[in-house]
Amino acid sequence: MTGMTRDTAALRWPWLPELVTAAALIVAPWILPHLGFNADIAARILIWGLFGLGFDLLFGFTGLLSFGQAAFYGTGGFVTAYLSTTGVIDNVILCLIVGTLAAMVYGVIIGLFALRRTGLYFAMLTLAFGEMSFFLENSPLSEWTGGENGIAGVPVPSIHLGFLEYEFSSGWPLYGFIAALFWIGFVLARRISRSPFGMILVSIRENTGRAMALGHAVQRYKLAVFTIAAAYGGLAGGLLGVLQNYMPPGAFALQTSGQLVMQTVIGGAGTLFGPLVGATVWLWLRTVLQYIPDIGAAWKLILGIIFILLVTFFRRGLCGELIHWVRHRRAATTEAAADGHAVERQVPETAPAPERESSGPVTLERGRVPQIEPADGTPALEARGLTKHYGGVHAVTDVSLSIGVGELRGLIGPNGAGKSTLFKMLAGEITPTAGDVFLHGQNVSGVGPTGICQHGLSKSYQINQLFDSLTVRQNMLIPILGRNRGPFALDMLRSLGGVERLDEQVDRTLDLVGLSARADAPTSVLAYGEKRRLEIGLALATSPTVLLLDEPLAGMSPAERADTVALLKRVRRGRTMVVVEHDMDAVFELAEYISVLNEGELLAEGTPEQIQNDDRVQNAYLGGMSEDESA
Amino acid sequence: MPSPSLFFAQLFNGLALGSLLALVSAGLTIILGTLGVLNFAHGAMFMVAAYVAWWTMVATQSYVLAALAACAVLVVLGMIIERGIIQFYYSRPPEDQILVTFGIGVVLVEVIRVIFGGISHSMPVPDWGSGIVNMGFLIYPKYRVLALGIIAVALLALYLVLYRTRLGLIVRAGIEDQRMVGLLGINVKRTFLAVFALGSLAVGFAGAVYAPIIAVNPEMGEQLLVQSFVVVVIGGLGSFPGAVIGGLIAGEILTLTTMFNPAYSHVMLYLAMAVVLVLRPQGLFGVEGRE
Amino acid sequence: MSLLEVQGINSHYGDSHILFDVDMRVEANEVVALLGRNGAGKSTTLKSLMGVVTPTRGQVRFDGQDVAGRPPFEIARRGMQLVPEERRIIGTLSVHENLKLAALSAGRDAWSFERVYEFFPRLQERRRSRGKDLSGGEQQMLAIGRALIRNAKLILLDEPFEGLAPIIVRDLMASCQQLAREGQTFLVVEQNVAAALRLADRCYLIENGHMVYEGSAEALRDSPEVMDRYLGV
Repeated sequence: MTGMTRDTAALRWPWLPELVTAAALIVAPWILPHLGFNADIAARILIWGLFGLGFDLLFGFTGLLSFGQAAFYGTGGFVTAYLSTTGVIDNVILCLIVGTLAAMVYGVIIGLFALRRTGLYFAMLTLAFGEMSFFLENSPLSEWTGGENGIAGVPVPSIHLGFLEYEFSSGWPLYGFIAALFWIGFVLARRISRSPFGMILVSIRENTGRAMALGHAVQRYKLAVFTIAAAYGGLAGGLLGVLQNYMPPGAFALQTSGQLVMQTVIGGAGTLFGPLVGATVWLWLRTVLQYIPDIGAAWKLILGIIFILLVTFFRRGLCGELIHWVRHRRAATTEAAADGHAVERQVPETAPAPERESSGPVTLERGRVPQIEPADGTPALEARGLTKHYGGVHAVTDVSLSIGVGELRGLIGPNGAGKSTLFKMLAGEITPTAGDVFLHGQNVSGVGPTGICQHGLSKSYQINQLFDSLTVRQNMLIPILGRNRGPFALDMLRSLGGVERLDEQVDRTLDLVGLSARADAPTSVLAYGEKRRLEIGLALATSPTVLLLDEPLAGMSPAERADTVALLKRVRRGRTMVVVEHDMDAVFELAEYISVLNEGELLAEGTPEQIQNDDRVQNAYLGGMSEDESA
Repeated sequence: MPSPSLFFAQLFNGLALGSLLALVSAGLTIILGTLGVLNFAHGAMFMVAAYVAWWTMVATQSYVLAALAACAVLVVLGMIIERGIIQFYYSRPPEDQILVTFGIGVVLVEVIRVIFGGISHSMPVPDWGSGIVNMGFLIYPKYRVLALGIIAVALLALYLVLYRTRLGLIVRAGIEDQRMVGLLGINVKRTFLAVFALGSLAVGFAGAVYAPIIAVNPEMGEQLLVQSFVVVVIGGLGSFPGAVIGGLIAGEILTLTTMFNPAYSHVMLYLAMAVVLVLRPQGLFGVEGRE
Repeated sequence: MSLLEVQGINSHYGDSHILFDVDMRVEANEVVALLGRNGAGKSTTLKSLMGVVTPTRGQVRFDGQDVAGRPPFEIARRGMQLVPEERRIIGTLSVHENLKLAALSAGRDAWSFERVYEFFPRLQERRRSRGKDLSGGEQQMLAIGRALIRNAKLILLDEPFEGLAPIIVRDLMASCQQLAREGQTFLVVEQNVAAALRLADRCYLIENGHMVYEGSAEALRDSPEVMDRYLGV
């Protein structure tokens, strides 16, 4: 059996990072005082680290840079503080839980708006919503939050179990309480990062559009991880009030979000440890420099400069650069240089398969969406009157196609004939101005690329749409997870190795497209022809009943073309395929029936012979040569 | 229900705040549209300009010198930032650009804090601007009325630069299709420095004019940065008319809602942004499907 | 010496090899057509000449100097002008501003606005309209007008007739023929082979990134087997 991971250390000691972290947290009280950290600073670092775990899942793993995390930190903090000081709930631990839940609810609300946009806009929107939360706390809600005064007198947690009464008094006992929560948070975050769910998050960071087209409901994943990040923020905020015995309004301030971003980047995004390391650097600098005359006031200036230098020259951050360096060395010293270690940021590694029963609820069947099954006598794919107009431009006008089950249809036409637009409508990427698409007789218009893929139609792209920083094997996991798990599943605590027959499915598809030998190579080192095959492999791995191929031979050398034509012949068994291709020899060799588009309209249909002898088609290609000659 | 005079007073207040937001956002949006860089240090640059103006005013008692110094320092600062850092970020992902400009903002704030301390200063109003004006429906500090006029003139000047000069033509074309501008024989990259300097000049001038009106302290730019983001979202990315109209809308929302419940005024601003986002995601003047 | 001499250029898109050792030349006052099927490398050739795509190997001698590897704006200043397939009119600028933008870096001997408007009276009528409000034909006139006002020594036309109504194609064709008669040098890529052949003195055929044929327009017109093999279906 081919193991999912070549990381032998991880294979033998899958719990090593968790155990090392636990050990470090336990011995810290005996070591940190010698380094100039007291219990208060140590606890603060852990609170920032906990806050950062969620943010790292959001930014480091999913690629969503939010500048509004303070909203959730503050929400969790103030709800916890309000409940515990007013005595509505007299158990601080319960207050923390309710505070965390409140932050999650708020996360869903903000997320629904902010996640409508990406990139720059997402950063601006989260920043703006963060500020909105600050003002909400400050005035409209000041009756409950104390406005600019905050809430004083937040009690410390305690345990009452009848036989056991324990109060986590401030100092190292409270550190212990926070450390325990941090550890739990870390274990969960690491678990999430190594789950199928975590793998999808990384695929969204690498290529959102393709993740969507491979059957993943990207918006829901984004909202889920945004909510998770809000939960971490809420818990951390609650703990801040508990630690300080006071909940400051500054928790909601932009500086809080900014500090979180800077700490995460300094420590290393996508490493989970990064935010903790960044917080350590931040608080250590502040504490130590403050005692040095003349420099004390400049501690944050120094930090800012360090930050700019790191972003410019060491973008992976302290932890990230260290991991990169270690992997680089290891890769250089072992034979298996192309070992998947070149992955820039941490991506989910998979644990060994055997311990499947330990991996939480089985979501395989629950999430799965049944494909639309072929029905007798019904065409596999049908377009009725498809039309797409962009303003005054008529890209496609009233095109109807009917493609039978098991057929291989060629779609040709001169430049600008509307082939790509037609393909995009068939694959659900754009909404037709008019007309409908039927898959095995079922109307699938308007279900979008994710839904179409889940229904069993998949497309390979003219320009490679791969997950560049992942290995070939990890690339192949994305479509297979889409098939196995359905458009959305919250299998965050399940390990990738626990998903049934995953290895087997990956290996089978890799074998089909002839990439078995390159399974653990990073995608970035593949030759162009190999990337092309991976591109087709991604579409194939969703096990589609109907496969659309957009110029599968584009940019290939003659030898690669021959290989790919052979590949297409291999995979067509049991499938319906539509191929757009300019290589006429290949089209005539592959397709038994051809549709010709010209200027957005269906010009002719027929067998290769009929098409080759069709004057209208020749005219379309040669620009009305014969008419002009006679004119 | 608020009285008509209060309503007009607030309308005027909104105009004053709106024009400031318009000028600051115009600087932000032309940099964003042309260079593709969202400048998170924009608010900090406003703050630096206010400090320069305050310091010069205190030292020389000359308002004109103060404004000139603020503009000059900001243009130079903008050029240093573009040449020294941002030019290396044009080919990097937008997240990296955000991070580095955010870092620049932090550094600027901290430099000022180290030099001048964290306390607030107030810049004296020039002699010709002291006193009050009775405008019938309201009595208003004279300088504020004049500041509105000065900002309006600055916006007009910026408009003329964008719509009547060579650089403006290149900037407007570059916001839409940088590659085609290059194909027409123009070195777009070289205009980036000028555009960044122009955006810095806009925010610098705004900082100088507003320094006598608000408390000068290291954090003063932060609010403005967030509000100018809101303006850009409402007005549309890279659009000068969008920045002006968006700025005025934002200013009026902030002041008019204060009449009913001051506590909610800022919240209403963000709510307006959310509404625009849902109904017209590209903003009022934004171009759909821009590159 | 030819106005344009291309020797052995190779071009890539990312890691995909598109052009293989392409040779070609264009003499001054000549109209050359570059024909081939979709995806054969026609547009990439034009982009490689113009510096939009940087050739990985080979020479592009234009007006006596090797311009391979230079950025597009420098090549444009030396007198080569690409009229891109999508026309790329600046939509928020008026017709006149679009021309003004093009004239900014033009030499002193450039066409005057009046001369361009005289040549395309339709542009004169629409000089205040914004680029995005123009029809396809008007956009193409403006795109060519931008090249004229720069007094380009060599105009590269990428699919100038694509998506235009036949009557508009005829008018544009007449305009191009008139320019050619007046000595304007063109390199045309066109799917409409008939139109291209009517305009061109000489032709190249490209297939899968390789130059496979060179000859006069008449010679190609008289070789249906060549056309069928490289252009037909």
